[in-house]
Amino acid sequence: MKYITLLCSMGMSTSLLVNKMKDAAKQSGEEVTIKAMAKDSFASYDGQTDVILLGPQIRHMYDDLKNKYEAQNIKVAVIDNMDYGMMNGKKVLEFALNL
Amino acid sequence: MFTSLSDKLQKYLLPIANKIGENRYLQAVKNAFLVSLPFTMFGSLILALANIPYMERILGTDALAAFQNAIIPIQNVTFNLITIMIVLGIGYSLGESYHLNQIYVAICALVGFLIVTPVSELADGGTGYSLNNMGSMSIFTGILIAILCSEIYRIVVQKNMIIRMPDSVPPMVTDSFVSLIPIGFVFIICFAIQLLFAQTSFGTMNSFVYEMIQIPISRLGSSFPAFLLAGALCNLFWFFGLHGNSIVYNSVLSPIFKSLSLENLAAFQAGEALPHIITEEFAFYFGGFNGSFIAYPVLICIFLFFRKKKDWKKLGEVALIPGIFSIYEPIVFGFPLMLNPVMLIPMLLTPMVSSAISYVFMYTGLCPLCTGVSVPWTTPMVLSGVITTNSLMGGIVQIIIIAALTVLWYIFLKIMYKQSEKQEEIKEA
Repeated sequence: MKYITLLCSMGMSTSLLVNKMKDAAKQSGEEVTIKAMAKDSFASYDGQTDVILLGPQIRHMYDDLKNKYEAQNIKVAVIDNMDYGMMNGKKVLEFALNL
Repeated sequence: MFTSLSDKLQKYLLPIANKIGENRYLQAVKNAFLVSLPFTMFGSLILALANIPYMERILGTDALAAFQNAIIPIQNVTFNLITIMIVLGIGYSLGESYHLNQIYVAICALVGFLIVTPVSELADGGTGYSLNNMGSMSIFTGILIAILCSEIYRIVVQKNMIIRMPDSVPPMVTDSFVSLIPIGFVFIICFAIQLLFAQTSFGTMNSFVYEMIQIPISRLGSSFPAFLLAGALCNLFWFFGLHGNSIVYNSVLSPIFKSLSLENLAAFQAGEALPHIITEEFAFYFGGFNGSFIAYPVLICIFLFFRKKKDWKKLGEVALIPGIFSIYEPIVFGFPLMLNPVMLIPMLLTPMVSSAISYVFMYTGLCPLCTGVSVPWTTPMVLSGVITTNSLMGGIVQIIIIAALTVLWYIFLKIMYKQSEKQEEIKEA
């Protein structure tokens, strides 16, 4: 089981993408738990995560999050603009799993 | 040439976005306003309900008046106590970011605020705080004091001036002893502030901050040119694919616009003339600080005029539902608007066009001003306009804005359409 957490400003637009990613995971039979969250809530989130994906609109936070979480073995990455815009759940899921 | 220019701009904007996004105090203020949001929204929706136009004809004047009186307590505990929520929210949030005991820092901030706030003699001989000092007029004082108290608390704890307890003492007990000295410092410094302002002609910190800081900043922030500049800046961030609203609005401008909204709300509640055109709701639902102002015209153009272009239509299908609810990231990143030179012009013009149209309608009195009643930012257009102005005219003005913006976007989308056609021809040849 892999845990993926998507962050954006309010957790609104990422939650749209999360639904698409869940659909994609169901189709390919991947065992994943995917969540969307507002960036500010993540600091106090104590659930599990293996991958943090940032919406491109908050990519200015990438360096800080990377420094903070890579030491804990959590992968941090920014979602591709186009995949984000087209809400391409399949590609973003593959991207997250191949990190 | 465009790429090098945009690279350069991006180099400056990313660190700015990061600085604002990571600034502890701005973050804390933003979080505090988010905490107060559901309360003030509930209060304002109840107020809107009590003031639905022509309600007196349905309920009768007496019944309506009785209902309006009955809801006054709800107004009092929501927007008239907003400064209390802000102060607690800032203390809690700073406590969290400094890894201190949040609830103690929050209460310290509240106590500090109450020390500097004047008390008055009541008719029955008791003493009380006036609600006037807990609402919109004290927001800036509350912000400053909450930050100050949290900092005092942090510095004292970090200097290790705390009472240590043996490990066998339960944590709850330890925490209350640990906070003893920091709280003492907060008391002393806030009392000193209170005494200091009592010597001046202002009498209290609240009235000093209100007159010398809050009013000038609000005037400046809500002046039309500053408003236009802020709108353009917000969309400039979006042009680089960064969350402009969160960077420009939520952390920096919201205290200013929120306090103006609350002043309108107080006047609306009292049945007086509304003092401000530019308020938070004006910014969100008329002035262009909302994804809808781009999503609606772009989607209308795609579905009415560019249906033949397959990739646009596909994007339009993805973006339609989120777009109706003001989420326009699919258009920013998928269309894309981001880093698309042709699209920069309409992006910058959108807030200008929409605020100019609304300002004219409201200034001339053709459309009532925003009452300060707020709705969730995902409320679809027209509905948001009607509720926030308590008048059908609000919805009509939004329709006029969307029509004007559709013309604007059509012009630039047509340019983009022609460009992409040419590229496809070149490819095919």
